[in-house]
Amino acid sequence: MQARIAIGFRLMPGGWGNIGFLVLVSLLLLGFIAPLLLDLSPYRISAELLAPPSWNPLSVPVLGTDDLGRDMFARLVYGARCSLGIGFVVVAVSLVIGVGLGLLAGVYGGWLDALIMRLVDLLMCLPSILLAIVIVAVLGSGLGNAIVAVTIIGIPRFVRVVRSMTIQEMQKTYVMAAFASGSSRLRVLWSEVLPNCVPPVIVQAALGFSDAILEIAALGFLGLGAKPPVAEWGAMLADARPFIESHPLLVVMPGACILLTVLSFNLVGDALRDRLDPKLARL
Amino acid sequence: MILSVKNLSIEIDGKPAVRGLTFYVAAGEVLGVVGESGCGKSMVNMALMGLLPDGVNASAEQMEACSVDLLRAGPRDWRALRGGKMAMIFQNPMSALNPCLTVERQLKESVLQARTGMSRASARAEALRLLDRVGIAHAGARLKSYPHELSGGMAQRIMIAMAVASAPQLMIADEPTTALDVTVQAQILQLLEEIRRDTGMALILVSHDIGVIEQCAHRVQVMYSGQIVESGDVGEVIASPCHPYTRGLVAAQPGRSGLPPKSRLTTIDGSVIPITEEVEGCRFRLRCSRTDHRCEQPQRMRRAAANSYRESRCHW
Repeated sequence: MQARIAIGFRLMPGGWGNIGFLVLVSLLLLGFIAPLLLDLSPYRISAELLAPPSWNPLSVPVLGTDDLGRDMFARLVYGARCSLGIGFVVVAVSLVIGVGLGLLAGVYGGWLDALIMRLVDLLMCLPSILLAIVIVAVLGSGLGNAIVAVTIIGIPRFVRVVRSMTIQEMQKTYVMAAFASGSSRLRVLWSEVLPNCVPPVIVQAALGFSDAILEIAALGFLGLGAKPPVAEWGAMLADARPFIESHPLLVVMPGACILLTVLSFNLVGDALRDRLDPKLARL
Repeated sequence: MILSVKNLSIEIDGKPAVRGLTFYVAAGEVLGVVGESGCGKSMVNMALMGLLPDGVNASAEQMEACSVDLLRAGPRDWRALRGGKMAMIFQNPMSALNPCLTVERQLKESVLQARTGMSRASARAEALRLLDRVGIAHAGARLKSYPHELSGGMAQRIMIAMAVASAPQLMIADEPTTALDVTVQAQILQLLEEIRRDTGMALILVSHDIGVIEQCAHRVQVMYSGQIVESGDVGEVIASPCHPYTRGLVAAQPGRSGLPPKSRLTTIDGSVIPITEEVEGCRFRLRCSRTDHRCEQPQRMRRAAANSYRESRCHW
């Protein structure tokens, strides 16, 4: 039991990262548990339009309603679910593709390396949101295509980190030793090089999360991502724009949610980097 | 012969580095290889294991190990050879183990490599047996350790365990004790000797410490700047070296030069020439105390006496 708790503490990134970590855990709980316990619907329309927030936890539209009479609290909760879920999918897919490409580039070198790295350079030389817009423009707008676009944008960070780690690791004696004991290149990659790439990849994943969420929200705001009825923070922001003068809270609330989530992920990512990056070794 | 090599030359970016090495190793024999840093010892080992880096090429008239023709071996043959009949251990055991994985995972990997189709559980049992064999106490607990939790000597023992997992016929030990302190060095050498005696494998022991070679090897070959300059029975070579370089090495050992204790140690003047540099005549000429016009001719290996396999690359 004590060991369990100790492991739990070791998962905490430490310092300011702990605060970010707790915020993220509560957002997760809110997004995935709250809808099961409370009677929340992001689409149900009530008679009262643009109701002000009551701030009374017992009254039903806690945070008031939007211009169509939908419960703001419910929409924010479903928005959290949407953002975190999309963030997870985006990071998972771009991580797998990016790590794979990085390993290939680092191990085989030559023209394959050149090809992969030039493609990565190409992706990185454009501002990411601009590139996302281009990709969505090509594929057509919609949440699914926005996810594809953000995933593609997320790939380069993993490729670069993993490639440089791989090139470094391939010089090490233990890789030579693995070759000397008859391992094939693929096996060396899988069981010697990959485990050593895990720490920097974790850091990149945490930072990638926040970028993904921000970009999905930005695309939603521009009308290229989630389409109107869907409760998504960026789209909510866009819907509420006409009321920014009369009911500023409609804009502030989803905006604050985005800010809080992205900030938390960055805090966690930075704390993890301080802990896991060998180049910033504890001095 | 477990290993026979004829006229092995290695080129780095097209420049000759190792020049015409001819040697052999018999089954169950310990061949000591001595020479200072940068004389090509490690490169020869890499060539024997087929692990030369890009840009370094080996060519030979004949290169045969464990009755496999290494010159014609494809990638598949090499892999079978490396995880099977040949094994290698490295200079710095701490960096030869993967820092991210437990001893258990790495050792099991070697065991499974050697015996495909073995179950996980029996691989673990085999790993335990191997740790026991190389003299590690509390093998069960040690399996759970990560490399940073091990001492240098223990790490080298584990490297040896991984190397003997496949019951090799030939083991190449590339300066196995250089990174270890003297007491541990003696234990490791003794362990290698025990394993050799039990399994009958041949051992190529590379070192730049001629004392280590004297203790452990049957035959020795002395390398200088990419060439073998002297070879023969360990006792004979050290007792009466033929080549001036060997003489220098032997005299440079503390307590060996016949000088009173605490006097300055004997050294060989000058420094080793870069291995890729071309020299007319004998490659040791510039550091030799005894040169004449004959040294300007390329030197070949000469027999020291008829009926002897002792050879030296010096005309004196």
